[in-house]
Amino acid sequence: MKEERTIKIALAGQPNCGKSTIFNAVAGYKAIVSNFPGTTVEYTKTKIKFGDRTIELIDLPGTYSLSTMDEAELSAVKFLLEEDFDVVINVMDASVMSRSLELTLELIEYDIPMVICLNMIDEAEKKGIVIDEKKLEEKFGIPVVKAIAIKGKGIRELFHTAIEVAETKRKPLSFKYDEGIEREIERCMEKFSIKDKKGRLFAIKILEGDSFFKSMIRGAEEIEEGKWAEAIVKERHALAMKTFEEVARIFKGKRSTLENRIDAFLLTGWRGYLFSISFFFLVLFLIFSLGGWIEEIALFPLDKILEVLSKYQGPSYRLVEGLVQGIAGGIAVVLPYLLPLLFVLSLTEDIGILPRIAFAFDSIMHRIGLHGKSVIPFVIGYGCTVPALMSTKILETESERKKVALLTGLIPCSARTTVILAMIGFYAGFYAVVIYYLFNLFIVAISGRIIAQFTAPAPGLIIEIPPYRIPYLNMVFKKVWFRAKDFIFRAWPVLITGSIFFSLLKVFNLEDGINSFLKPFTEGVLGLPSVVGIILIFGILRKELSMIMLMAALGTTDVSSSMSMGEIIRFTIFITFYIPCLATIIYTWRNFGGRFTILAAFFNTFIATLLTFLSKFLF
Amino acid sequence: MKTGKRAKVKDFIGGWGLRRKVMALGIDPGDEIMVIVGMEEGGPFIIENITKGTKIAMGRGIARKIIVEEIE
Repeated sequence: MKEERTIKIALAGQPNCGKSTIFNAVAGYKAIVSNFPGTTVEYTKTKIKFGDRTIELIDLPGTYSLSTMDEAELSAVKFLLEEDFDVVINVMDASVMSRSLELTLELIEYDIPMVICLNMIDEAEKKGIVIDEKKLEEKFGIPVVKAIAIKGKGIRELFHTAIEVAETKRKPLSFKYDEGIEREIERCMEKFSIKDKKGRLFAIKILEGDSFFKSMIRGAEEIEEGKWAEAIVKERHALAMKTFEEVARIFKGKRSTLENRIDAFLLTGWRGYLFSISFFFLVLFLIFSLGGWIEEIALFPLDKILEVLSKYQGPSYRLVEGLVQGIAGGIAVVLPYLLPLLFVLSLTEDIGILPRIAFAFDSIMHRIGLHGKSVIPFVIGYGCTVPALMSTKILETESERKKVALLTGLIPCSARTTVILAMIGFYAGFYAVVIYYLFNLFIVAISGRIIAQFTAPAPGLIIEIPPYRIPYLNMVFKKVWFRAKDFIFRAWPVLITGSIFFSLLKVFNLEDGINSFLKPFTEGVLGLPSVVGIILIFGILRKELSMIMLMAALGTTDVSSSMSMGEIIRFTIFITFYIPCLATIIYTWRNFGGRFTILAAFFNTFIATLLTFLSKFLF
Repeated sequence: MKTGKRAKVKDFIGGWGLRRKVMALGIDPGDEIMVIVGMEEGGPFIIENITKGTKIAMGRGIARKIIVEEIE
């Protein structure tokens, strides 16, 4: 029998090269999302069975180069240097091969066992690019496998080859720069006595002026950037071009002008907004009509149980009530909103709409100090805050993700919309609701501008616009499941526990105590009846419930009979802006950390209190 | 440069970091490019790199640092 050691394979490649497609195509059920040590950039891992071997597959973040200048690149570099793995699969989009080769050359400098996967050869052929993989193999001394990952072609062979390379530890042939640079590399290695295996890599990176590598070698910090940085990068670039010319032949391919015409039609000027906004409306309309319907059906039995339970006295009934409430809270998020919204998000990513919307909204978003891409979490936020927070992963830097996460919490999700419609809509009319939503957007924009004063501005826009692609539903479903799983298995149990904990308040009859304890705040500052105290606390569980609880507390379904118009508006404002729901808090805690969660809760409550307090003078 | 006109990339000016970023996205001196969306609007625009067969959206700040020469 063969040894049963797990083979660790890492996937590296540029953005949009189909790396994640390969990952998803083989990912088993045990896929785990984890953080890179020292950063918050995530990478995904999975264990798969391949024949009689177990493979641990790691999907590194997509990077154009390995210069450690942004978080994703730094994470990939740290992984390659510090983690233990057997082989790297360098996935290349064959249709943009000349550019992809630069990353390949950088990977070769790491002197690690490697396989090249020439992905999307069908698209390359469409463009008239024919690649001689044998020549490429000779040139780099490592196996090259052609594939069309999205159709599942070449994937088995790729992993066969990768396992072979992992066993033989076959490394690529190192390439030489011109003499001047080589001499300098030699000198650098001697100066810092780093003659070992990775010495050449370190020397090159130090000469390139890479601050991460410099910080790892004593004395290297003082080396100034100098002329070598430019010389090395230019030479590597030239080598990539030369290699491309050697291994590929270009026939006059068809240039797709149709796609350009579609883009020009959809994205020029105001049409860009029109296109994006109609897309948003379509999505939200579907989510609201479909989601509301699913929610009603799914929650019907649970709500019935709750109704029956509420008729009985005794602590055990209250605890069961808490349990059911927690399960219902999870269902209310997952089924109608989380899964459909993640589905739409994955679909827009795979079709290629997402970067186009980011482009269309870039000017507006930059006014509040954000990248065009941040419009996506905002729109999803109108459906549900949890998938909106998940979608912040499309943003490039941690600080941007946090900025957007803070603002997304202020967007009224479907649960809060229920309250807005039932309160302002019912008692003040349709136009009041429209005005209320505009007011909400205004507050989001102002908050964005204020936050922008304290943080670094969003980087200038430069993103690739990938070709339109037909999504493969199988892949889309896998992606949705992958993203939703973390919430379902980790956040939901906490939600249920929290819900049971809340029910203890009822068991020990703390409601009146809490109401009178909060009275100075609810009555004094917010100008609301003191019975809302407990409602605001329970509202954290599921915000749409605060409506029903309010009616129960007032003892009437006609809220206006015991609350003034001003109180109704203030109640809605506070419910809309204060602490996000428990599901959101748990997700934020798990993905952004405790300190940020507390900051976000404080930020929301502060805005809610301020707005409610100020509106006392208006209504 | 106007939408629909072709041009050749001549050179980059400005910081090394920016230049690397632009080059990493596959825009090199000598490449033939064409603006396909948005040059007249004042905001970001999309170019097609005809030589490489890719499309890139970029803001004005970055675009100002790429020197091009129009092709008739």
